[in-house]
Amino acid sequence: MSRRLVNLGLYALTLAVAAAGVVLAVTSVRAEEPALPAEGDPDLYAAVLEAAEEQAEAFVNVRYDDVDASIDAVLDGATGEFEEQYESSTSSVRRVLRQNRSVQEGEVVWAGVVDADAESAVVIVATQGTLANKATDDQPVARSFRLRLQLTLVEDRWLTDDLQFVG
Amino acid sequence: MAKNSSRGSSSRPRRLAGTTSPARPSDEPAADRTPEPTPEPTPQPPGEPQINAPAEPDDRLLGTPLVTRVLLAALLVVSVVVAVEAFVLLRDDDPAPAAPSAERPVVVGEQVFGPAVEAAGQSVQVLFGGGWETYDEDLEQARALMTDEFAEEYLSTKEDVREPFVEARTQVDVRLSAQGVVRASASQVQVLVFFDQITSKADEQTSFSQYRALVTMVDTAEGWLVSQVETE
Repeated sequence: MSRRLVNLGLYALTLAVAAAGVVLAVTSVRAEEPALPAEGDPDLYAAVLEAAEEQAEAFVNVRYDDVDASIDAVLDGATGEFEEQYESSTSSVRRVLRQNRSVQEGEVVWAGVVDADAESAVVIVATQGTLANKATDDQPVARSFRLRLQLTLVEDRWLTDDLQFVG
Repeated sequence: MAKNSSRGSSSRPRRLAGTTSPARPSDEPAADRTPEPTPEPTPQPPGEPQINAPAEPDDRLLGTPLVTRVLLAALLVVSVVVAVEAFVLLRDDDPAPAAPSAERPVVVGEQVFGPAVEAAGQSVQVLFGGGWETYDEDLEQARALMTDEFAEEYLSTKEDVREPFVEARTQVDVRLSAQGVVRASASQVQVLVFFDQITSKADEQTSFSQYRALVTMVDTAEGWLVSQVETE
């Protein structure tokens, strides 16, 4: 075999290996591209769960002797129709809480994402706690809830636009 | 390939530097014809006739040992780079499976945890429902949906309540209200399930109870199985 043939072979082999390197480099870069916020984004689930838990805790922790703070906490995480409804009922909420000397305390036991995308989410939340009022002789009685919250992303914050009891 | 030198034994007159090619008879073979147009040869000093070698410079260079060494060196460098790239890529392609945490409770996509959530809802209906007439069949059906460890716990409880359940001619229907993913990895998914039990007995009014259950599903060779259930 002549040297010229050997050199041609080496040249071709070098080109082939270099081409393989380019393919590998492109594959590597694509593999390192960050996942887009979507159904499979772990940060999305963490964010909506945190927001839903915070809102649920605000919702189940209301007391007659600090009613404004209780209402403000709920409204802070609310938007849309839920915000309007809750805001419009604040005067009656204040009156009922004070009349009954109601103290409702609670915490989130579990929360699960039913559905989520980059802009909206549905989360169910189980809470447990107590309620004390005139009817219970101011003695706390167990009170637990099953809640369903619908959240919307508003300027980088997950806010609740619907909150329902799951009956 | 280098062209043959014109120093061969051809009887054709040599073409000397400084001279132009004479017109050839038309009966000469076409391959021997000088291509047109023919560049003007460089004038050479008189008395030093030089043969115009037909080999091209690139061809001469390609056949040299220097080129072989350069190509070998280039091949070595390129091979090393590609080997490093392949190593990095293969290492990245097989990362350790992510574990859920408080900051990131769901570390897999819906494609992975979706079937587990679905299976949890279906399992709850079987595990918490049933009738006195189909008690053993219901147990058998439920047994197929859970791990061996959880089956021991579950079957033990069901054996304890078998007699009063059958005697009271109990029928329990389960209605799913909602279900959602709480934590999820590739091998384990926790699902929050809201469900209602409608219980009817021979001599009692139908009762209605609401439950919240945290169902832990594990991925096994038989599919997603219930490994634990906590209810509230």
